[in-house]
Parts: sequence; C-alpha cells; structure tokens
Amino acid sequence: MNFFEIMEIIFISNVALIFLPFQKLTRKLGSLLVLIVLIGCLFFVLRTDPDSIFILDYADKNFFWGAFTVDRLSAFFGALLCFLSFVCISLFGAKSYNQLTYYSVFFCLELFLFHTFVSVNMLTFYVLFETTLIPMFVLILLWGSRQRKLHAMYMFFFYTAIGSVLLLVALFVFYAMSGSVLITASTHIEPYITFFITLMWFCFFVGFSFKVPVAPLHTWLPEAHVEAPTVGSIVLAGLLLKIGTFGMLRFMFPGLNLLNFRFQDFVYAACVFSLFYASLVAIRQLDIKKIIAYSSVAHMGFVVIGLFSITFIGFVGSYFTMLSHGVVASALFFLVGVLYERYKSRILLNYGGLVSVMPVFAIIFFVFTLANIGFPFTSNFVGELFILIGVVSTNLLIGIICLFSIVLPPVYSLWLFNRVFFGGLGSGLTGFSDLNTTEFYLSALFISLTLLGGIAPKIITAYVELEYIKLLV
Amino acid sequence: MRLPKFLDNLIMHIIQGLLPEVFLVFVLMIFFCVLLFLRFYYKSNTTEVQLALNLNYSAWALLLPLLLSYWIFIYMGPAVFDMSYGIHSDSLIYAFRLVLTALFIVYWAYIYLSNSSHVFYTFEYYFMLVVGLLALNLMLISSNFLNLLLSMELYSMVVYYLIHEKRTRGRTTEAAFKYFTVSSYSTAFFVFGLFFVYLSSGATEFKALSFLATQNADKLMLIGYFFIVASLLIKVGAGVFFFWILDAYEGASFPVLIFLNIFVKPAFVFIIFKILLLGCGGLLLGPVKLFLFSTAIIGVVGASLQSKVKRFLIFTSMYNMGFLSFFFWEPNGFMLGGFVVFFGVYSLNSMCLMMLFGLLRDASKSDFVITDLKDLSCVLPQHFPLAFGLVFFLLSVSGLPPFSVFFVKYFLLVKIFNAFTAPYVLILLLCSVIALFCYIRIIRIIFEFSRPTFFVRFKSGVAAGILAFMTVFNIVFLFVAEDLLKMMQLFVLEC
Repeated sequence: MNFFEIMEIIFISNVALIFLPFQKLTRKLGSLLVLIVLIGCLFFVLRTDPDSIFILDYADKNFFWGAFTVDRLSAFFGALLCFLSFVCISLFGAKSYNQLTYYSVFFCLELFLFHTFVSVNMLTFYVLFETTLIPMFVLILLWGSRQRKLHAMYMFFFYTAIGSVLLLVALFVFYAMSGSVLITASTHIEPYITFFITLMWFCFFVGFSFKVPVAPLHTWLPEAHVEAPTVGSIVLAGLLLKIGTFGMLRFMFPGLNLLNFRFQDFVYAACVFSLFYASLVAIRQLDIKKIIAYSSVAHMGFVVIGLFSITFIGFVGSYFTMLSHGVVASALFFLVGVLYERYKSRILLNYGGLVSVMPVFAIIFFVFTLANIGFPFTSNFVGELFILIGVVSTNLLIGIICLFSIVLPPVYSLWLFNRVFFGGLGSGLTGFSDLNTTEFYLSALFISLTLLGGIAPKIITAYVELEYIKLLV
Repeated sequence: MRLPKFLDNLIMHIIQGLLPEVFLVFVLMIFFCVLLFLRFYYKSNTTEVQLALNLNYSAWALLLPLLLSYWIFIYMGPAVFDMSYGIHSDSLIYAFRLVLTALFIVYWAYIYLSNSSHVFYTFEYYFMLVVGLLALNLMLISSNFLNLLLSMELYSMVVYYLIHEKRTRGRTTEAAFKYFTVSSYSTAFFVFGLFFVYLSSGATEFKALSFLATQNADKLMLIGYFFIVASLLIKVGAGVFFFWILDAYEGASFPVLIFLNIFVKPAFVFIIFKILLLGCGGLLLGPVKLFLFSTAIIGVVGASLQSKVKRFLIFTSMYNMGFLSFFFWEPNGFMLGGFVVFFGVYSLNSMCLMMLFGLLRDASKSDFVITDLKDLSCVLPQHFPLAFGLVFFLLSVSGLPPFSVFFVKYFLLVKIFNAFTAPYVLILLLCSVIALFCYIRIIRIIFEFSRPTFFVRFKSGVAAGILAFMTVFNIVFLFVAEDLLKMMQLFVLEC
C-alpha cells in the first residue's frame, strides 16, 4: 500500500464518520484523523528520497479516472488542507448547526480537495475541481448569513462554470495533441506554436484565472466570502483559490513554457491591473470580509506574477506565498468570524474601541494585519520578497510597479485595524467577551505557523527547489 | 441430437425474417385481449386505481418478453434478419433500450394515475402507451420506407390520442389538433417524397435504394429524399420546425411528455440517421447534421427564455437532442456505442427529473399546480427531499461533473474534437454554459423561500427512493464509465 492509498483510506474513513451515532465522537475522531494525515504529509516530505522526488502512483487508466500522485508540491497542500480542516472541525463544536449535515458536507469537501491536489490526470483534476463547487454551494446556501447568499451562490457557480468550460476546451486540445490526459503526456505536444496550442494556453490561463481570481474575473469572490459562513470563508481563502494557481503550476509548466514566455507581458499586465484594482477597491470597502477578500485577490495576483516570471526564485516565492496566504487569509477570516459571532455585524462603521474590551483578540488581529501587509518575520514577507526578486530579474518596469503596489496593503489593513480597535466604543456593541480557549489556541496555531514561515522559510523552500528543478527538466 | 430437416427449415425461416413481425403482431393482440379481459373483469368490482395497477402488471407482462426476445436476438446474430423489418444490430440495441426504459414509463404512468383526481380512461391510456412504444420499435427496425410509413402512422395516431387524453380541457384539445394537423402535413411530405423516390428507382427497400443512390442518384431521387427527411424533421420538431411542438407537448400529461421528450426524439434522430446512412447512401447527410446542430442552439436559447415548466423541459430536451445527433457525425462502432450509453444515462436522469416535476400537485387533488418555474420557490420549505432531488437532477442533467451526464458528453466531445469540428464543439460548449445557466436559475428559484401558495401532497419515500437510486447510479457510473463505454463499443463493433 503506497502513501496515497493510506491517505485516501483515512479521508474516506473521515467521510464515514458521519454515520457515527455520537456527534462529539465524530468531531474528535475527525480531528484525530486529519492530524494523522497532517503528520503523514510532513513525514512524507521529509523522508522522500531526493533522487525520486516525483513519485507517481498512476492507476492503469488514463482516459477517465485515476492517476493520483503525492509529490512534494501536493504534500504541502495536503498538510495545509489538514491543518485548516482541523481548525474547521474544532470550530464546529461551538456552533448550533445541524452537525450531521455540516460534517457530511465538510468531510466530502475535504475528500474532494485532497484528491484535486494529488491529481495528475487532467480530467480527474477537472472533475474534482468542479465537484468542490457542490459542497461549497451547500455550505453557502444552508449556512450563509443573509438572503443575498442566493446571489452569491449564483455568481460563484456561474463564474466557475465559465472558467471550467474553458478548461474543458484546453483539455480537448491537450487530448487531441497528445492522445492522453495525463500531465506527463505534455512532452508529446509539438514544440512549436500553433493556433491550437495558443488556444489551449489561453483557455488554461483564463480558466484558472476565474478560480484564482484575477480581476476583472473576480466579482464572485467578495460576494461568496461575505455570504459564506466562517468555515466556508476559511476553506475558500485557504484552499479553493489555491486550486487555480496550483492548476497553473501543474498544467502550464513546463509543457507550455514557450507560450508562457511569449505571453509573459500579457500576464504581467493582467496581474498588475488585478493587484492595483483589488487593493484600491479594498480601501473603499465597509464590509470587513470584503476587505480581506479583495486583499486575497491582490495577493493571488502577486502569486501569478511570480509563477510567470519563470525564474527559480519567482517560482519558490509563488509557491511559498500560496501556502502563506492560505494560513494568513484563513486566520483573518477566522478572526472576522469571531467578531461576527459576538456582534452579528461585519460593517466597519459599527465597530470601534475593541482594544479596551478584547485586548488578546486585538493583539492577535494585529499580528495577522502585519502578516497580511507582508511585514518582515512573517511568512508573507518572504514569499513576496522572492516574487519581487524574480520579477525584477525578468522585467524591471513591472518589478518597480509591483514594488509600488506593496504600499497599498498597509493602507487598507491598518485602516481596518484602526477603525475596529481604536477610537470610541461602537454604540451598538454589547456583551463583550474576549477569545475563548478554543479560539485562543487556534489563533496561537495560526500565529506560530505564520512566524515559523517568516523566520525559517527554508523548511519549505528547501524541498520546493527540487521540484522546480524537476519541472524544468 | 439433430432436428428433423423440416423443423430445421421452419426455424430458419422464422429466424430469417418472419419472427419479428409475427411476434410483434402477436404480442399486440395478446396484450389487447388481456387488457380487454381485465377491463371487463375488474371494472365492475374495483376502483380506478386498482384497475390502473392491474393494467400496469399486464403492460409489464407484455414488455418483459419483448425485452427478453430482443436480448436473445442480439446474441443470436441479428444480421441475419434483413427482411422488411431488418433487425440490424444497432437498431435492435436501441429498441432493447427503448423497451427497457418503457418499463419505467409504464410504472410511472401508474403512479401518475393513482395520484390524480382527473378522470382518466385508464384502459385506453395503457393500451395507447404500450402500442405507441411498439410502433416506435417497429419504426426503429424498419428497413423499408413503406413499413416505416405505416409504423409512423400507427405511432402518430397513438400520440394524437395520448396528447388528447384529457378530453375536457381546451388546451389539450388545441394541442392535439395542432399535433394532428402538423402530423398530417408531415405524412403528406413523406408520401410525396416516397413517390419521387419510387418513380426514380422503383424500390422502397433501404438496401436497394442505398445502392442506387450511391451509383446513380438523379434529381428526382434527391427531391424525394429531401421531402422524406423534411417530414421526419417536422415530426420531431427539429431546428426551425420546433414551432408546433411547444403547444402540442405542453397540453400533454407528464408521462406522455416524458414519452415524447425522452424516447421519441432520440428515436427519431436515430431513424433519420439510419435512413441517411443506410437508405440514402449518405446523401443529404451534411445539411441534416447542421440542421440538427441548430436544434441544440434553438433549444438552449429557448430554454433560457422560458418561465413555464413544461416549455422549459421541451426546450432542454431539444438541446439534448441536438447534442445526441453529434454521435452520428462520425458514425462508427465507437460512436454508436457511445450513443447507446449517452441515451441510457440521459434518459434515466431526465426521466427522474421529469417524474419529480410531475409529482408536484396540491392537497386539494385538483390538478398539477406547478406551471410556472417561479412556483418552485415554495417547494423547499414544504418538502426537503423533493427540493433536494430536484436540485440533484437539475445539476445532473446540466452536465456538471461529477454527475454521469458529464462523462458521456465529455466522451463525445473529446472524440470528435479535431481541426474540422472544433468550431462546432466550441459552440456546443457555449450552449452547455447557457444550459447550465438555465438550470442554475431554477435552482436559485427553488432556494428562494416564498410563502406556500399550495401544499405538496407527496410521499417523501418516493422522492428519497428516486434520489437514493440515482445517487448510487451516479457514483457507480463514475467508476465504471470508461469500462462501460469500452464494453458497449466492443459489443456494437462485434455486432
């Protein structure tokens, strides 16, 4: 039995837990199982022989189903998935929802996401990528906070569907050219540029851009974030957005490198626009979740810029930022969820002066505000620095523009912090309470990961380097 | 032990062509007698619902042997049957599928009848439903234009009755009248075309005509084929001929709508391509392909504009018919195998969706109350399994992964995608997005809670049962899809 099969069995057992008669037991066992997978993923990364880093566990089919692998690229995302799942499961205990439905939806989402990250068959990836829509759809519809959730769900579904049709076109071209849907078949694609290869590149890029998202294809994201429950937002920011960039990483490199070079300026232009647009829009938002959602759009634009710099350091920076953003943005959404649980409002104008009544919460929020703006010693700083170095080495102008863009996140992040925690106490706020034990420990976990990434990034980058070399080969 | 020679000859004679017609006529007669007996025996001392159930059993009793006989024919080497009703392997497999799914229709008719307060002519209803299915089977296995014409007329009469079955309703009468008028025109076109073909060639058999068409096709023959194909396209409401089916089908009850939408349309697509490939030697194939392709576009655009449930279902079935016709763009064993699987998966999912729509009715037992799509907004607060089931099947029929319909559509498109068909595939994908938009619009309506204006009188068990069955089906299909397709393709190739 290989590593992937063990992981798969654990995740399927996780789904089976919903049939347990005791919901407390379901929660505890669920947490335990994801922790086992988390440790397994890290163990896998550390123990893998550097000479055989790309371990493939292909099924014997290549057309419809099968072909999963756990390599280091996917193992880190597996670990992130497990960590965020652990957080989400821990949060369930505090809710009064119908827990059976909640667990079943969440565990299914977890299962689909894990398989998406470990898939090296384009069809399987596509199917799972689409399948993750359904649990998210249920999460937003059943546990969304307002009537506008229907509109949010509609936008979420529709945008993703358009993106996925483009991916399907790319899939058809890939199959027509290589005779297979396995990513290893990309070597069979003709090494020169034709209309169909260009079409494939375009479909891949725009299709994944819907998911990343890159402005102007982003309008579904703030809506979905605002209407989703806290768990939905955590998964959305931490994992679902990463499917877009992870898909680019898997399927556009190195097979389409010729076109990646050719359209590098186009990608840069699109992402720089996205970066500035999202940052400027974030400044004028009143909903706290929307501010964080727009900041996610800006950060993900940065990730795409790093990937398409097609440099070693840009690649490492992008990968690192994906993981780092997964932790930081999820933590911010978790903290906003804490606020919403207590005061039932996400509107900035209703808050103020919370530092005097929630001091611990204020400190933790401040740490993540710093992390979000890419402050040194936080994980985002390392990723963004690497990306900037990568971009400057290929296109100085874009590098300088990107450097200017990093001025904007402090504007909206510090403004948000200032509005919520300083000044006079919000008039409508009652029943103050600081973080409870669960929330505190979960926040501590988030902080430790953020600081660890900022202080010792080598833990991750050392292993990603090998993958990059492999991709270039 | 060897059979005596005369018995051997007799069996061979039966196998070589006599059996299909004789068998079909016999089963029809037996069925008629059984129904007649049941009508007089039970009518006096049972309720209408019990009568419906008994008739349901008898319909099953008819269809099961038919199914079995087709199955036997398929394995006995169907290529030997090539008389007036030439049972070719492809048409036989299709007919087999049709009878298999007909069993569901007949069962569904029972649920429909037993839940309705409307006065039905139960005996005629079952009789006509089953005769309609048999007529459709006769059409499928015809290898002669005259046989095809006769079978088609039998089918038309049956459908006229089925549409007009609620005789007291004005809308139904109008629908039936429209159907009758258009059907008459269609038949006139067919006869007119056949006249030209016969004038030109002196033959009506597909095989002979195909040979003549490939060797020496004159203008008369071409005009004849043009009219024949046009008549079939009118009958099925393909392309620009869709104008009449909206009113005609809308007036029909839900089981009849299922019958017409899910079984008749794909069957006609099959027949049209059978005529074009086997009877016309490939003449007019290109224009008809484009014409059916336009059906998909009209269907999806029409569906996006609809606010009525039945009209929406009619338009979406047109879209799927256009999709289905793509399997004949490259007619070979692989594509025909795919066609059979696609038809099976699509019909099962669509049928379940329509069944759930059809089961929505009010507490006062007056009639169906869901006519507008916006009425669906009061389903969720009253009946969660039903609402969930509707969402499930809407997503499934829309072709969203990981539901089964996606895989067959994917199979089709990936196989025909090449430099020449790429524009068509891209347009079809665009149509898929619009179709998805239509289905999601309905899901959105379902989740828009509104104050109930009616009460759903409906057993949870039925919705939950359908849902459970289809969930298992979709999950199993996910893992066996590739193998199933390969198996079916190999089977068709062997045949």
